[in-house]
Amino acid sequence: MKGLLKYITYRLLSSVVMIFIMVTLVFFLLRVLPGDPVQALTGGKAPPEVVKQLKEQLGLNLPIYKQYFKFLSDVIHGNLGTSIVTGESVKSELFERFPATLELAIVSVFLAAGWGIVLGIESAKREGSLFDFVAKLIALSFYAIPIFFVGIVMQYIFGVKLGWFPISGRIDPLNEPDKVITGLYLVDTLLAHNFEGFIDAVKHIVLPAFSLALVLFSVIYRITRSNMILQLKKEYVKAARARGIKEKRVVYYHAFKNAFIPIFTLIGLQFASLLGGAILTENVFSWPGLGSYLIERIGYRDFPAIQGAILFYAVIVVFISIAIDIICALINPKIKYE
Amino acid sequence: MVKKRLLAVAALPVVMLSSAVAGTKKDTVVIGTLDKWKILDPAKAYDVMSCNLMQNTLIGLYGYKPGSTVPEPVLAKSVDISKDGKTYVFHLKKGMKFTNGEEINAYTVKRAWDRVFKLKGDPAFLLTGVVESYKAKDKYTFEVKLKYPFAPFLSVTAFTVAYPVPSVFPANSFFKGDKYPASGPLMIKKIKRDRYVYLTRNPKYFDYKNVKAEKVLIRQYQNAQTIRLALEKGDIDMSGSLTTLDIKDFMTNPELKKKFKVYVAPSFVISYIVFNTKKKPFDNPKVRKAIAYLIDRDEIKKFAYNDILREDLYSLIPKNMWGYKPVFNKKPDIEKAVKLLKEVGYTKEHPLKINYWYPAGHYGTDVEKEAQIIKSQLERTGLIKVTIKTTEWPTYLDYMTKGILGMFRLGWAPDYIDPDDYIYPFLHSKADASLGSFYSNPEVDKLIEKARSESDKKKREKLYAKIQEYLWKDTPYIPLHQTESAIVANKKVKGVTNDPVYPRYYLLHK
Repeated sequence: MKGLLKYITYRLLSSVVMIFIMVTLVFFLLRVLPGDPVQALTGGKAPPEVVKQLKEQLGLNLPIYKQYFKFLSDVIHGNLGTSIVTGESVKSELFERFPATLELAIVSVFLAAGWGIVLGIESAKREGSLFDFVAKLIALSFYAIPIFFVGIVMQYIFGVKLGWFPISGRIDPLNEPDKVITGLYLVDTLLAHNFEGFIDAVKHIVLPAFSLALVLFSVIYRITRSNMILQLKKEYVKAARARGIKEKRVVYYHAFKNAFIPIFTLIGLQFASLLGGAILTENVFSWPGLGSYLIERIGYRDFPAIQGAILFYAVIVVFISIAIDIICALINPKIKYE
Repeated sequence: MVKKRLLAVAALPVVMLSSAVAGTKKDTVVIGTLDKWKILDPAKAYDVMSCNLMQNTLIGLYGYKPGSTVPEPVLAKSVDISKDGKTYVFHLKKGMKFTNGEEINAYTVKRAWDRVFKLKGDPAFLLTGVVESYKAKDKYTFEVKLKYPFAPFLSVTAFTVAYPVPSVFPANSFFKGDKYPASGPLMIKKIKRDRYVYLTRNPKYFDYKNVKAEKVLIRQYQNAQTIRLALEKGDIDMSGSLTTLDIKDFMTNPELKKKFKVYVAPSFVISYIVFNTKKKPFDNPKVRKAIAYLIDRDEIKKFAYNDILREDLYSLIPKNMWGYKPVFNKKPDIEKAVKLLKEVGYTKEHPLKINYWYPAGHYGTDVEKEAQIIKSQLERTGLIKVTIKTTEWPTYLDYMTKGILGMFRLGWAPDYIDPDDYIYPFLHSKADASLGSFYSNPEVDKLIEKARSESDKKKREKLYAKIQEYLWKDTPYIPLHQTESAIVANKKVKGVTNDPVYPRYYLLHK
C-alpha cells in the first residue's frame, strides 16, 4: 500500500508536468500556425479596423508572452477563458458537452467489452476450430471497416429502412429533461420518472453506441483471446479441471481472473480515448459531444475553446490512467508499483 | 428464473420499438440544417443562422415582405428623408411590444443603437460607418443623421444590426442568453446550442393573422448525409442543406418525387474568382482578361454542380437585382485569350504558371470539382499551367488578407439588398483589402461614392452600369455563378417560400 501511494504521488506530479508541457505546446502552436480567429469569425467580411478592434477586445493584440501568462494564471484559477465564437465560458461549454461524450463512451465500451470478452473467451476455448476462425474474421473485418461507414450503414438499415431507431441526436427535443442532474440522459430521465424519455434516450444511443462498439470490440476480443489461450494452457487450469470444477467456472472465473489485468487496462485506455470524443461517430450521428465541439472550434481558431478542451481531455486521461493502475493493484495484490 | 430473465430481455426490444415516444407532434414543422448559430444578439451576430433566427423573432424599423427585395416599414410607420439625403426621421407605430410586455418605441431603438455603437460587435460597422448621430426626438420619433448621403440606408435598417432589443440585453455587454422576449412572428420556446431551436407562434405579434406556423423545430446536424436520411425517414420535413447530388436525386427519382417537392429560387449568393492585382502575374490586366476569356460557366455548372442550382453570372451584381449589367463574355473565347497571353510573352515553351486556390470544405465539396474544371479550361490554351492549391478556411482567410493568394475562389452573401453591397466592398479602394484583390481605381471610387449618395434609382442604375464596365475592363474579379437555393420539403409542408432575403419560418405549416 505504501508503494502504491508513493507511485500515485509520483504519477500525479509527473502528470502535472506533462499536462503543463502539452498545453504550452498547444498554446504556442495555435498562435504560430496560419489562421486568424477574428478573420475566421467574421468570414473575412469585416473591414480591417473592425478586425483590429475585435482583436483588442479579445486580447489577441497583446504580445504572445503576455497572452501566455494570462492564460496560465486563468488556468490556475480554474478559468478556461471565454469562447471567441459564442462569448460563453469555455468551462461551461465543456461541462455541457462532456456528458454526451461520457454517456456514449460508457455504453459503447460496455458493449464492446461484453462482446469482446465473451467472444474472446469462447474463441480461446475453441482455439483452431471453425468457430475461432470465423470469430477472428468477424473481429478483423470490423476493425478494418472505417467507423463512419459502419455508422452510415447502421443508420440506413436500422434507422431508415427498418425505422427501428432514430438516426441522430441524443433525445427528441420535446423529451429533453427539464432539469439537468448528471447530464446523462439515461440517468436523468429515470431520476425524473420520465419513462418515455428514458426509452427515447435508449433508442437514440443504440445506433451510435453499437457502431462504435463494433469497431472497438475487435481489439478487446484479440487481447482476451490471446491472454485466455495462455491461461488455459497453465497447470492450475488442468488441476482445477482434475478436481472436477465445472468447466464454465474454470474458464470464466479461474482463468479469466488471471487474464483480466491486461484486458482491463486496454478497456480503460479505450474508454479514456473515447472521452476525448469519438469524432467520426459524433459527426455521423450528430452526437453533441466533445469531439465535434473540438473540430468545430478548430475550424474557427477559437483559441480558448481549443486550449480548454485539450487541457480538459488531458486531465481526464491522466486521472483515468491512474485509476486503472490503482484498480489493477487492488484486484491483484501481486502487482507492485515502484 | 433464467427463463423469466430471458423473456424480459427478449421483450425489451418489442417494448422499445412499439412504445410511442411523445416526441415531435404533427403540428410541428421540422427543419434539418447544417447551420449553427453563434450568438443571438443583433449587436454582435454576423452569421447566417443567428441572423435568420432573429429575423423571425424580432422586428426592425424596416423589413422585407416575403418574396420582395424592397425594404418596407415594419416598426416604422413612415420615414421622412431630407433633400440632402443625410437626415432620416422615422415615425414609429404605437402599441408595439415584446412578449414580456415591454413597449417598443424610439427610446428602445436608441438603446439598441447605443449598444451597437458602444460594444462594436462584428456587424457594427454597417451602422457606425454611415451614421453620424441619432436620437429619440420623442417617444415615437427616431431621427438619424448620416455622415454622407447613403441611398441604401433603409436596407441597412432592415438588417438585424439595427433591430431594437428588449431590456434583458445588457447595455454594456453582449447578450449571452439563448431566449429573449420576442417582437417578431415567432418566439424561441426551447433551444440547445448545436442541437435544436424550437420556435412557437408569438401571440403578441402585431401582424399575428399572417403567421401560419404553430411550431417550428430546427434540428442541427453535422453532415448532409444524415440530413438526407432524416428526410427520407421522416425525422425532418424539409431541409435546405442537402448536397447538389442529393437535390438532383429528389428532383428526378420517381419514388422520391411522390413524397417530396424541391423548391428552387434564385438567391443573392454569388461565386467568383479573385485576382490579387498587386501580385505577379495577376498585376497585368491582360493576364486577368485572358483568364476571364477562358472560363466556361456552363461546363462548370454541368460537371461540378450536376447541372443544377447555378445561374451563369456576368457581373458581380446578381441577375435578379436592379442595376445588373452583363459585362463579361458569355462564352469562352480561346482565340482572344491566346492572343492576349502571347502579347504578354507566354508561349508553349514558357507558359504562364499559376496557383489557383480554393478553401477546403468551406463552400461544400463541389468546389473541388469546380477547381479541376477551371484548371482544365485554362490549360486548353497550352499556354497556362495551373497548380490547384487548397487549405482550410481560417488559413485561407489569413493568406488572403496577407496578399499571399494570387488567384482564388470566394463566395459572397449580402448584408443588405442593394447593388452597393456588391460593388463597394469589391471595387472601392478603401474597402477591398479584406477581399484580397487590392484593386484601386480613383475613377471607380468616384463613381461608387456618387452612386451611394444618389437617391434617384435611375441615375444610380446608370452609374452602376459604368462601374460594371470598369469591372470588365480591369477584371480584378471573374464572376462565376449566382446560386439558386433549393429546399427539399415533404409535400405535407405548406408555406415554403424559399425567400432570397431570409427563410420565413413563420409561414410554414402542415
